Amino acid sequence: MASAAVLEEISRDLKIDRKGQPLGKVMWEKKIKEGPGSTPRTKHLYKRCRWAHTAGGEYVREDIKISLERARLYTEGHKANAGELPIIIRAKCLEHYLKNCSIYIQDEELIVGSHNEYPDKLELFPEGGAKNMMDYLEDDTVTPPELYDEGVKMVEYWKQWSLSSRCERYFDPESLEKLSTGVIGEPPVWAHFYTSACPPYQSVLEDGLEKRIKWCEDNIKNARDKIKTFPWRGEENFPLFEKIDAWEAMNISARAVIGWARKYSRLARIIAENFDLSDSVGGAGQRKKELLEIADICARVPAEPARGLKDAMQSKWFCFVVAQNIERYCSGYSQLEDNLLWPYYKASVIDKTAQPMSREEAVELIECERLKVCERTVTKGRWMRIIHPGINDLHILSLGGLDENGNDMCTDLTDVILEAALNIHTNEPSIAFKYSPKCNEKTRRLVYECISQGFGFPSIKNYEKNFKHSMEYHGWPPEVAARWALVLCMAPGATGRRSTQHSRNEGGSGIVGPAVGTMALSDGFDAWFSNKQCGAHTGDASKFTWEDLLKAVEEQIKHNSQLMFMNKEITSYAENKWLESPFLAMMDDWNVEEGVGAFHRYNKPYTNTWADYYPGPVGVVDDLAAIKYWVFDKKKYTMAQLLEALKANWQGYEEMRQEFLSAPKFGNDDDYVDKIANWFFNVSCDVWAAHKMVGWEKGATIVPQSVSAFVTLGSMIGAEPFGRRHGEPTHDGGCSPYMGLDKKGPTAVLKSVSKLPNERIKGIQLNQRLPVGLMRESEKGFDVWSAYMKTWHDLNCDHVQFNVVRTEDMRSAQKEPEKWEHLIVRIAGYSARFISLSKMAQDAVIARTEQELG
Amino acid sequence: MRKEILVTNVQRFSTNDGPGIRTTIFLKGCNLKCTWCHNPECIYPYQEFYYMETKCMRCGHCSEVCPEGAISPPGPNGEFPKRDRNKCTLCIKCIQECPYKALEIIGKHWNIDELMHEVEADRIFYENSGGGVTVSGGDPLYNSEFTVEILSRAKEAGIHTCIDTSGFAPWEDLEKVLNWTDLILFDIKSLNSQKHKEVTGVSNELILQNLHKICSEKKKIRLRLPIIPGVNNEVEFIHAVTELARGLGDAVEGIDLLPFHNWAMGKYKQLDRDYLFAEIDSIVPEDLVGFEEIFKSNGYEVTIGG
Repeated sequence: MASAAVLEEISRDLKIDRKGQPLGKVMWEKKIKEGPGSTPRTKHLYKRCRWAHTAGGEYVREDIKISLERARLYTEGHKANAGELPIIIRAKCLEHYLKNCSIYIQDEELIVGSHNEYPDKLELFPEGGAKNMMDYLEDDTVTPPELYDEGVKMVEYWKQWSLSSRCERYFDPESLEKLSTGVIGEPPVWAHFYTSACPPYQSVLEDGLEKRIKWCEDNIKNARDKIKTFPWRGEENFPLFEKIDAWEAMNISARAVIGWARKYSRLARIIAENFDLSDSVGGAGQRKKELLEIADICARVPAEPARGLKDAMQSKWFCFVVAQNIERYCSGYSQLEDNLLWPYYKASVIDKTAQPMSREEAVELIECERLKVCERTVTKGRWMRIIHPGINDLHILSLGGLDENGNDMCTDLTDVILEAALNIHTNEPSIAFKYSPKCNEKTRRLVYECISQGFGFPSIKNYEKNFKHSMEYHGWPPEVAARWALVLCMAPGATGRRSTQHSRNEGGSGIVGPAVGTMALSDGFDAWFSNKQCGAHTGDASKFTWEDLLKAVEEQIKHNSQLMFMNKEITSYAENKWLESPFLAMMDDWNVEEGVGAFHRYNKPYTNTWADYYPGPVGVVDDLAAIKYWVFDKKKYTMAQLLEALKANWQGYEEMRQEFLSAPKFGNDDDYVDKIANWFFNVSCDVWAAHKMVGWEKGATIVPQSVSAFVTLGSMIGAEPFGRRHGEPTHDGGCSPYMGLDKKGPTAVLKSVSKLPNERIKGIQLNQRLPVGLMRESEKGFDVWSAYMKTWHDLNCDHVQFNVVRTEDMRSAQKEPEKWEHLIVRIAGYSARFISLSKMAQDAVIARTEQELG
Repeated sequence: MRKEILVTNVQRFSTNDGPGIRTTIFLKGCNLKCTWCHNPECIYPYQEFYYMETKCMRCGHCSEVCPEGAISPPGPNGEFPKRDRNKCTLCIKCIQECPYKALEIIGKHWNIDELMHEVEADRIFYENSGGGVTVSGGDPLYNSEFTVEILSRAKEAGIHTCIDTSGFAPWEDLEKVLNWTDLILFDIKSLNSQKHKEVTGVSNELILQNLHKICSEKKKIRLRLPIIPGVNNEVEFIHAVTELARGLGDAVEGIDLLPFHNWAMGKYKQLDRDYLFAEIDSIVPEDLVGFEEIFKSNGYEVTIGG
């Protein structure tokens, strides 16, 4: 039973007077009345937040425009260093940029630092290739006409040097064409320049960059001493040359980052000493004090170790800006934030030994961080923008869990981060909670309250399941296996000083779930979107037996995954050779020890997730079940009749469609279809395991999840046998039932999910809806939810996330978006602002959630 | 004993019909005809059907296939087909033939094994939440023999049992059910016999007799009070129930105030029935805080909404 004392403590921390009412209800009403933010500063920053969201692939706010500052400076850097080694060129380009870029500090900010010329500017990455850059330049909603010609010239210049040109040469034209359709899998990194990274912040917070520079210098000195040592040892000495180059590149980048941070220090001082600050929310004197403190902090970090929470937040932010926004654009906000920042929080808030501050000030600082993330402008390829509606990018931080001895790792900082999220009511960054029943009630209650507010986060990951998987599958020692954080939406990766993901190629990318089913019915030809042979030739489906059909599906999985793995390793090879990220490497102890670039693949101590995105695979399961039911068991229709109906997009076959819709569906605790699901997921795991990537002899695994591809794929994936028409959304999530087809409620869904081979799967996404009345407006919601969560945990499920939103609220928000700025819905791997979604995505979310529970 | 029973819904993850996460079985058939009934599809002990205008394409096929001529065809100006339920013999031909599934049968015959299979499926949720199975309806006492069968099978399987009842049944029937019931959710609609007859079709003497007997047998009950505008939405009723509860002693575990809502309107329309409460606003939970306080101050555990 819920503890009344815990509830009282939380209400007190949040400064909520419940008056005997459910906490969630009072909070919701208060936010509607007063707006988000716990202090005048964060209230102000929320109101003027420069949201950088996209919807339908377009930027929602018209103020968002491109800048060519980064592209120009990188092009200059590249030209000036022609002939240098690639890794040195990369470092020199970063240095040239950081020395010459514009900087700014916005009013009221406590955390400073940005990657763009001005607020609201999008910076471009010409080294990726022509495709993405031209897509931006040709789009006059974001490109001012005066920038067009200059941009095109840059594209011309980079043509031969870009990642695209480095990769394309290894493909035959047929494979290139298949990959570029986007129908069977995520387009390549080199086409849309989308990648992700998890910088090991811990090393910089603990050491400071100066110490690491010294480390690289020592390594260089030792190497030079080694090659002078008699007698000559070629096998040992030869590799040292390449290492010296890498250490040089790391140091160029790190020195440049220190210099760039100190520009912010000077700017803060200039503003403090020369500007009229009288309109600041805390008054001129207060703002001056803050700016001078910012000046002090930026002069010291990231060069020096962080002392307290303010140092740590600023140092982390600087590293994030450089590693994930300037050096390369990388998606993600991966970190085990409560664990990472705990020593600094303890020093500042609890012990008051460094940068002393109150708990309320810490909450405010986290609110500022969340707003800062919301303003991050991102330039990724259109395919990726389209599947990420309602956000600017995927930002997911992780919290909670247990340590290797089974002790609760939640701290007061965990609670502070959750309270800040409750206060500021932004959809970003999303939070993943490492759930164990052993986590303390107060933290679990705060997780529950966030969910009840309809945030859609924290998404819940099973701590124990993933701890075990990390040890058994990855072979990590217990202390590393315990400290996992999600890399992007779903897949746990190691955290720490030497253990993070550097690129998207080892884990990440993926193939489209429902396509392996539809391609098996069409001999691999896609007649709905690309009009191309996208899949494998698996024969005329009208003559298939049930066994033939299963075989064809398996062949399609093999074919599509082969293309994906081939592409991933080609990209990885080219990135390591031509497009290194020396600053990212500098942050990782292993890279510094070994003198290798961030994308070096051999002998890594903690490898990547080795897991690939697999949107909406339950579509194939429902398709197969519907075919088995009506064609092979009931024998009411033939395969040929079904193919005719699908070809007509079910038009003129409504009665038949209704019958196929009524066939057994996944998510209803029905063994007829759940057995097919088990077969399909096992076959997928078998195929993945057969592919061996560099550095991983066990073979890869899958992360079935959809982000928002379920909407995008609706136009790409043809009519499906389970009753879906072309154009309608596909299955969302990784194991979520199709919207409206789970007829038996959340317990039956969990039972179906528990029958999947969960232990073989790195992460599998489940979307659930729980009623607002229960979660936000009743006293017993927490108890019911806790019982549900305990069962979810007992069933060894991997993941679950919740939508707690009223259909009528969403409909009102469609009519009067200005009144519903705060409305957040869970999309898939993240939470989106409802009003920033495209109409189609909004309708899909409404349809998905319309099924009322009693 | 009957081999099968008509069930309108087996609702898993039910959180308002007794403690914890439960599976609620809605049986068809009720002795009362409450004017505001929230589950009008459960009143009659035979199959019926819904007609859903939003799905109807006005093709007229239902009208063509009806052997009784009970369905008038769609009109030339987009009028929807109309059903005369008095002529209808429930042959369900129209339902089978509707290409758009705009007609939907209400009630499915379940045998005891099928029901128990469905109930057992969520056992792990019951164990983790202190939940179980609830037999509701309609009224479980309308089908008391089958209710006994369900409850006894559940009890033997170690599952917590609950009934949600009007309490209107011969004591002999009720007694058999009680043997297998852990908690009784007992509805109180009005304490005025005449009013009770007026709004439910039966007077309340038998109900109150049964209530007293149940409590003297030390069974655990929760009193459930649907708060209905114009029927019992008044403080006098609350005071009267407090008096009644006091007389019942320790058996009363708590009291649930169930505010009237008009969400059932859609169902009435789909059943081609008039709904007396169509124009009446739902009561919001906040409106019942005063009533809640009265019970609380008398030492009762109270919920709004169950």
